Amino acid sequence: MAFFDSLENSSHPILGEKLARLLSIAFARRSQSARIGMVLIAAIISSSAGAAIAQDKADSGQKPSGVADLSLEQLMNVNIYTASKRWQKIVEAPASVSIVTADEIQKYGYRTLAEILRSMRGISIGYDRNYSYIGVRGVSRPGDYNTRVLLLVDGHRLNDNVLDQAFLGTEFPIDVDLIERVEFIRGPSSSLYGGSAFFGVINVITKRGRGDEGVTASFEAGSFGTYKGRVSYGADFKNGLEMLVSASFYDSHGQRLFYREFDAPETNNGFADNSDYDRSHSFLANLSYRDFRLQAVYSSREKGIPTGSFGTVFNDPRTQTVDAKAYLDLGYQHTFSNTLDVTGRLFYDRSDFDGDYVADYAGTGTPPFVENKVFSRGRVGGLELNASKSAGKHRVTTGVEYRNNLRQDQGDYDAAPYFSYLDDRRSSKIWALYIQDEFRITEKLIVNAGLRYDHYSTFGGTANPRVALIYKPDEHGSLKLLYGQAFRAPNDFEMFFQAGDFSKSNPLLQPETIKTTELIFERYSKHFRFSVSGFYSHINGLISQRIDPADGRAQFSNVDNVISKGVETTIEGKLTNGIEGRFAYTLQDARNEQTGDSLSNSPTNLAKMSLSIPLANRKFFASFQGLYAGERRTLASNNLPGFFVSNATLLSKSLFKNFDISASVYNLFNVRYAAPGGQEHRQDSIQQDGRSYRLKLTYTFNRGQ
Amino acid sequence: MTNTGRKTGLALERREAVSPPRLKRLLAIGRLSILIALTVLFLLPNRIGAQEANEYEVKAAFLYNFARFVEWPDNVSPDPNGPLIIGILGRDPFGGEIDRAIEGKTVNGRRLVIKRFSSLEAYEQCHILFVSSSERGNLPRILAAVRTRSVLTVSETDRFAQIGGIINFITIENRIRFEINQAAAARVGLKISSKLLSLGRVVRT
Repeated sequence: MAFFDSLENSSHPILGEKLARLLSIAFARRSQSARIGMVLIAAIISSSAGAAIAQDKADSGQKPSGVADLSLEQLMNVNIYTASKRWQKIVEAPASVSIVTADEIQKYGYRTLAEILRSMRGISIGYDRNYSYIGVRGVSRPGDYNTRVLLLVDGHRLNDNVLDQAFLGTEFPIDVDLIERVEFIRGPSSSLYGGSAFFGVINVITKRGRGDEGVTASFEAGSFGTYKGRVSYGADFKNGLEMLVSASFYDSHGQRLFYREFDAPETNNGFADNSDYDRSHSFLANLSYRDFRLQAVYSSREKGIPTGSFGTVFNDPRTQTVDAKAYLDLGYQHTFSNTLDVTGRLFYDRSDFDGDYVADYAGTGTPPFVENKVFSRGRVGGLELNASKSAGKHRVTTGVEYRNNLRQDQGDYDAAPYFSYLDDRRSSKIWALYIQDEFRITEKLIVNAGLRYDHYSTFGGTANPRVALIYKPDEHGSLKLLYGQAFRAPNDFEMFFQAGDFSKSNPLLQPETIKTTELIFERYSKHFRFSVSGFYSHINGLISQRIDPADGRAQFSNVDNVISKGVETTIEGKLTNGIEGRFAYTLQDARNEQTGDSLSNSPTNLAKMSLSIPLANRKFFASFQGLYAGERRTLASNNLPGFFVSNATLLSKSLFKNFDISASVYNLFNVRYAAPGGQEHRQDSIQQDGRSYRLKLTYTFNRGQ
Repeated sequence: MTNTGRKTGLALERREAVSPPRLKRLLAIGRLSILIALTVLFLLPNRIGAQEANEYEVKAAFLYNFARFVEWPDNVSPDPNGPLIIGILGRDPFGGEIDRAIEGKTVNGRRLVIKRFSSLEAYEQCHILFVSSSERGNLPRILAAVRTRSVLTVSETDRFAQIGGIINFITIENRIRFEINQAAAARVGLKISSKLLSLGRVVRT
């Protein structure tokens, strides 16, 4: 406690100064704009620290007796700050957790789930102008479609059943405006969630209707001909029926992009003119009545591919991918006599992927070209049952899960002249059992242990344990020691996809496994939270694509072992006057155990900072975000320099009645930076977005009820 | 058939955009003005806006208001002009806010008094009983114990009003709201004003 008290009360301005100095060292020899950014951040940190101290002093001194004299109606409109409640949750969780709320999504102008995740400690995001890719704990493998994180929406698994892909960019099926909060739970969680919960679990919690009553219309316009619209209706009826129904569309013309790898007259001198388009529409319905809950989601996105990936004809707008996702999820939750909780879930999902790749098989560079089509069809139905009961010092949770992968089909063919390379139709089944016990040995010491057994009809069974030892010396902090194992099942694409002379299947693939040990120290007080943690992971049999020397064909196999380790720290604060900010830093190292080489696309240093300040009596919120990622290696072993990217948003919720207005600038200083390209790209690195703008208007029809 | 896995492996130099000097200067000016504008924007907020309130400061103020908008039957306390008693059962989450909220306040000429009970066994008759979330595991027992008394039970525990409690605080969009179980109140002879009913969310069991 003493340590944290000093952090909160006395050393804050010094902290700001130290931070600034540290950062300026870290960012030395970076571009001028990055340096300017750093100076700005240092100024902000120092000024907010000053304000923080002033505020804390004001708090401890005499308080104007305000709230106690308010009328009932006025009380209904007082905002409370909930930071410490959230922090309590973080500190008590048997894992290292980050949370981003709807409030932050609005204040910082996040446009996609990928941008929300990118603001979190230790996460890096890359975009190849087709999908967004996440890197966690220094691992982001080429050709990995986010299969090593589990993406849940209100507990419903979103990774599909052919590729296990988690959609994070504009392809994510839920409009970010409808997100109540996003939790990222770091570390292996297969003991509870099964496959894909390898590096972490992303849990997206959607809004329900309560607090969003009435009709809301939102419209936004951004750079590169980008428009988005949404209409939502929320209701909270007295009879207990709660609902949120919402429809959104998104249309972006995209950019004119230059790639020097294609800088030749026959490929438009390297310019991709109309191939960066991004269009989607989505629908969400959340209904709940008493113990029942129904969620229906539909979304479809089509994205042009401007990079000429997979050897396609450069600058042909017909090359695109379409991802459609739809599901129904029926949930039941009931508490019996306050000690027994029962939940159930019944679901059906469909995931359709259609890729059109314009190919120049003859290599003449002139039409007619062949349209090559790749598709996958995923259908899965299943159920989950879970019961949890408290008895004395124990709380035991146990459950079963059954998933019937009704269709896991994939194909590859040329449209005209028709020729089929692959028409693979499959189905499989997964069942699982798990049990977890939370044992409160004393008030201060908790052991949380769990084990889950998963059985796949494809490769067999796997059991994954996790143990957490949580020591809570008092209400305001904890020390946690965690050990966990997780697996990622080989997906159908890795096992069964084969195309002609280039790639071949490997039905004998086994799951890759991870064993992680973590130590986490966390403290919080009324206005500040601090955490420092370390992790060590050993990954065994990582599935990677290799060329078989015997026939020159690419094949997935369990080849690599990886060791990933790192330390992380977070400091965040939220003051009663509305100022809030966060700084997080990660130092990590991920390398191949056999060769000793560090992995490609693995930045050693990652830093995140954010600050939001209310202006003019809370009429406005000015929010600033800074993201730093250190040097990374590309597949061709070139070093991409580190970068510092900053975003700023000005939000007003009360300038005009019933209107929320926000203006955002992304990549404020137009920093040039790139992400490593995957094997499918001729580009060794892919330039990320420069400066862009967005203006957003949201109108609520009957606010204030 | 697209050639998945083919890697050309070209070693690439970072392309440096070459802009004419004038454009560069313009860009620099633009960048500088953004910087200045932002600095001004961020350093402005010395005028600190309306305060956000502590959750329990607000809940304490609500408790005081519940005392104003609920009518107890005459037989609750021996002295009809005696103090209105607010009891807190279990771990006190208010940290003094409740004492500050009622300081110097009266309801129909009656003083307000706070009593704290560590357990159900220590419970004495009161008008309002705030059941702390620390008592979550004992709720059925607590509610059974006060079932026949004219006590306004208040809590902040999930499903409290559904299982027989009278008022339950919930937090929606950073604001405090409350659920009311009117039937449970009527059973013990409490009259809840229509004003309170209209602001709360009435639940049925």
